[in-house]
Amino acid sequence: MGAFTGSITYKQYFVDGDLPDGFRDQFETALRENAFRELDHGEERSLGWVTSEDLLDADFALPKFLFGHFMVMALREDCIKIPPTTLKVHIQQEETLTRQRLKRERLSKFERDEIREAVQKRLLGKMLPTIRAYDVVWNLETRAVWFWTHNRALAETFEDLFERTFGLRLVPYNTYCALQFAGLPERDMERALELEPADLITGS
Amino acid sequence: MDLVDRINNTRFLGKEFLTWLWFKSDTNEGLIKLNGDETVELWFDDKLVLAGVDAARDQNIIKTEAPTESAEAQTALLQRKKVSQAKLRIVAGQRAWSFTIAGDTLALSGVRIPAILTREEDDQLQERLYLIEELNNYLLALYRGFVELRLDKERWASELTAMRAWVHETRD
Repeated sequence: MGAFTGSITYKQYFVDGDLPDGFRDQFETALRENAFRELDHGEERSLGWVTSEDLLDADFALPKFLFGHFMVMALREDCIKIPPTTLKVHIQQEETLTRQRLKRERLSKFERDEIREAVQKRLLGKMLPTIRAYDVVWNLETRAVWFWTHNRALAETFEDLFERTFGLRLVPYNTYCALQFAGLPERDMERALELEPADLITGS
Repeated sequence: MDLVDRINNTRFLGKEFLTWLWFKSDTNEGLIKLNGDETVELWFDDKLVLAGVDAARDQNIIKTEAPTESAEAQTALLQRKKVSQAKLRIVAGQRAWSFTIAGDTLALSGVRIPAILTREEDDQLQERLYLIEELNNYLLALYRGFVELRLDKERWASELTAMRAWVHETRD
C-alpha cells in the first residue's frame, strides 16, 4: 500500500521532539544503518527501510527520500513461516531415519533438539519469504507521520524501528494531540482537559 | 497529568465533534464556516455508526444512501448515542475529498482525494501528499473551531440549546 498510488489509509502520528541540526545528512546515515537486508540462510525474519519507489533499493540518498518538506520511505518486512504440520512431518521423518541409523529405540532430548534445528534451517532455506512493505510519510514542517496501514502489530514494529532509527518518539494521533496540531494555545489545551461530555437530550 | 490521562480525558471530544458536524451540516445546507472567511461543504455519505457509552455492545451501524436521515439514526440520537464513525465528504471550491473518520482517535481511512493535475511523476507524488495534507488541515480547522466553541461557556450554552432542539424537533 503506497504513498504514490492506491488507496489512502494510514495511521497518523506526531513526532515528539525537534529535528536535529543537519538532520538531512544525519537521517541519510540513519536510514542506511537501519536499511533492510536480505534474509540470511536459516533466518525467519528481516526488517528495515527501503526506498518507497523501489522495494529492492535500500541505498538511501537524499533525492530518493526527500520530496519538498516530506520524507518518504517504506518499511519492508520479509518473513518465512514454516507451516507447523510440514515442520512436524519432516522432524518425525528425520527422527525415524536417525533412530534406524543408530539402531536405537529412543533419542535423547539433545539429539531431538539438534534434529529440530537442522530441519528448520533446511526448510527455511527452501522456502520463499513473504514480503510486506508499507510506506511512511513524514511531514517535516508539521511533525506529522503517516504510516500506510492500520494493522496494529505492524504499527508497533514500525514505531520501534522509527524511534531506533531517528531517536525521536512517535505519539499516535488522538483527540488530545490533534489540539496541538490544530494550533490551540497551551492554556486552552489545559482547559479542554476539564470538559465533560455534553448531554444532547435533556436541558431543553 | 500524564499523556495517557490527557488522551483519555479528551477521547469523548471526537464523538461529540462528529455529532456536531452532523448538526452543522444538517442545519445549514451542508455549509460550515472555518476560522476566517473560508466555508466548506460537509456531507455525510453512506456509512454512519452511532455508539453509546459501551460502544462494543451498544452501537448502530447504518449503511444506506442518506444514513443521517434514517429513522434508526434519529432514534439512536434520542438514546443518547453519538457518532463514533462516519463516511464524510468535504467539498471546497471545485475539489472534493471523501473519507471515513473514527470518533475515538480521529483516524482516517479510505481517503479519496481530488484528481491530480500535474503530469510529472515526481511532482505527482508531492501533489498527492499536499492534497492529503489539505484534507488534514480542513479537519483540524473544523476540530479547532468545535473545541474553541466548547471552551466558550456562553457560545456553547447557546449552541447546545440549538443542538438539543435539533435532536428533538425532527425526531420525536
